Amino acid sequence: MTYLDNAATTPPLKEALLSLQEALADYYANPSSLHQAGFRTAALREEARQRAADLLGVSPGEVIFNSGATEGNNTVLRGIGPLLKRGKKIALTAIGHASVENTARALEREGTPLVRLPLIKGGLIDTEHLEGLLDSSCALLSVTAVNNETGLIQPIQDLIRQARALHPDILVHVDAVQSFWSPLWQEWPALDWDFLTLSAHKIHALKGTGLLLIRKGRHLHPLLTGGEQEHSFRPGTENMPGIIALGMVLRQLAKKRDSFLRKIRRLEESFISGIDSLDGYILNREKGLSYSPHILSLAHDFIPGSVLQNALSEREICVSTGSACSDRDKKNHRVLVNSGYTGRQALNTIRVSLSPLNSEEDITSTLSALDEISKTIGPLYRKVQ
Amino acid sequence: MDYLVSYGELALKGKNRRFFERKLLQSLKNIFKREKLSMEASFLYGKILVKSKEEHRISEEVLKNVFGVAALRPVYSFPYDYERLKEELIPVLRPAVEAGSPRTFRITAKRAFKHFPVDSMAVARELGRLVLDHFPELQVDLTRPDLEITVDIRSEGFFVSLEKIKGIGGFPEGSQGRALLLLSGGIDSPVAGYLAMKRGLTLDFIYFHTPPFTGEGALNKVRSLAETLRRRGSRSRGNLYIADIAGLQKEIISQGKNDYATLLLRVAMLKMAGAWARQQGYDALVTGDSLGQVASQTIHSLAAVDAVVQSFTLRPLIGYDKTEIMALAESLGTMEISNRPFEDCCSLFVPEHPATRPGEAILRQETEKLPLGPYLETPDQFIRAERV
Repeated sequence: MTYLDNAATTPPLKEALLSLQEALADYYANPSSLHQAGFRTAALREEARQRAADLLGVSPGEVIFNSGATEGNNTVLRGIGPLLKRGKKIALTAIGHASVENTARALEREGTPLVRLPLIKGGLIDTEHLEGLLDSSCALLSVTAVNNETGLIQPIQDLIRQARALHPDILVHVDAVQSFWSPLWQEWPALDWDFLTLSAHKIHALKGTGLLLIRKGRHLHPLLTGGEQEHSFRPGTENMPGIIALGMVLRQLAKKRDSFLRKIRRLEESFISGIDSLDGYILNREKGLSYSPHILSLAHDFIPGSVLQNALSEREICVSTGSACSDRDKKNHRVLVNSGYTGRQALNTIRVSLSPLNSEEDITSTLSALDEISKTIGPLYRKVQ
Repeated sequence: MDYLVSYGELALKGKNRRFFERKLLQSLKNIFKREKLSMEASFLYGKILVKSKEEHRISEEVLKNVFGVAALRPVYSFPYDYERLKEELIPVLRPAVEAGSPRTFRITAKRAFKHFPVDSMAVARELGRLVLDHFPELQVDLTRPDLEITVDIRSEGFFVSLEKIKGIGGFPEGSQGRALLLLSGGIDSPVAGYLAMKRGLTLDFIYFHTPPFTGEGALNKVRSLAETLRRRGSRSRGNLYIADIAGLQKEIISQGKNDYATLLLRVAMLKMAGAWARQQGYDALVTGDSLGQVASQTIHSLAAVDAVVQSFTLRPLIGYDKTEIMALAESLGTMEISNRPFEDCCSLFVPEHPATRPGEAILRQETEKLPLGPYLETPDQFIRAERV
């Protein structure tokens, strides 16, 4: 099996999780319990928190554990509630993840005006033309750092600078879920964001765990009410398996990120040069824009993405279409169409996403499968164009 | 609780009646066994008696949905002893009278056992008086009573019932033969299959798989649909035939832009299904066609396809509106499965201007160009059977 759907989720990092079972057997106590067993579990949780804080250049008090980025994004957009009650707007792009987009649309139905940021071809935010859009009527700017379908990297630093110049008090939320393999990852400590959301299973830890970073001095209203966990901000007994695993994975990744990243870049390079030499495929990447090396969006001239996905799946190669395939309705290709691609190109797109656990062999076999599929099925679709 | 199950129209079938009765009894027994229910069924002249140790709610739900069941009555069974019935009837009625607080009632006596010495009118009068003596607040109303107490007099005993529940009707599964349903994954075909089952057909399923145009997701959807339908009947397993016609599909497309493409694919599928049905001893094909729904379902298209295909094809949905079909799909639980987002092969390669008044001659000509031979002569090399 060749797994190239790492933007959907990643395989857990084995060496990091070897000791997880043992840890779970020993650290079963409720970390809120006021006894030795509870203190020990709480200490493990704090170790994980410290590690995340160190990596992202924040203090542990700014790190909240939750269930994932969907919860994180909901918490940020809804947590600024009192500002929205005063009629303030939310500024965002039309190519964000569904957990941002659909939360924003729900808020819009509840009366919050949305401001859509202008995009140029490829989906890049046009930071030259924000004037008149971002002003004191906007409470929040929410932006996806690395697009989950195309891998496009937004100019976060420039965007925040422009936004603050137009409205110094605007709150900035960054959905940083796919940013781990992009240069942005090392810029997070220095950048002036207010809220940052992350998901553990996209970086080789477990599903059901996420991080919400809240800058000191910033406030959000919690989604849930209950116990005093996570400074009363995220009640409910902590997901200790997920938190311990995340701590272990972060320790490994801190050591290995550079070598892992080099590997992903090599795989990316092989894939791109391979695709360039194949007939019928085109990468959904625009000149002059930056992309995270782990996401490669590509379209065939004629074959629908769903068919490419099926044909690859038959060959035990797992990729995604990045969109539901049955419907030709534009809304199913929201991200690609709003990034400036035609409906046809969006329909014919698949997403290949890499992890350091992939090999050159994975790339070679995928390229030759793509070539074979193009040669056998491509002519059929060409005929019915 | 015991139940008297009646089977309406199948009782009219004269000499075949025993056959239908046996099929229905077998259906009930199969379902009780499959669902591990503590229920037993046996003949009682003209009816089936079901003795159930399950909760009433469960027994009722199971029994009323068995194909061929016209109605059922929850009954209190008494031994064949009229004096004892008169003694024990009131305690049995008391909870029902107290719970429902009816104001009027009637007794309806039916004497299936003609040797019983008291005629049914006399039984009704006598028992009616008994009820009035114990429940002075009740009054007799023969035309629109709040409570109708039915007393079935049989050699096996007296069966007293206070309620009649409508059953699903139709014929017992398998009493009309075997059919093969062309299952696509859409909303319509499962509903057509259900209606065919209701009319007494044992149903198996054929799905036309066209990898990679359609994927494993679509196939899984069809598996769920076939299983959901099969469970509506009494069988523990059914057959899902997966026919790989990707080769044919490619052939049709490679002939270029063609307003007949959809019809040709339908002809190919029906011809192949027909060949398989003949080989496997099915009596008919069943499809989800509904007149006029799409270009390939106009009366002209259906007629041309049928003329070329020459298989006996049932189309139970022919007179149904889409809204009616959807409501049925919803109640069958197939809607939720059909709505899962996967391509079915018909939605690929749809011609821009599909033929709505196809010429039979042209369709025949185009069909002859297809390499159908091996698909019709040795369909087994393209078909894989699964138990669902």
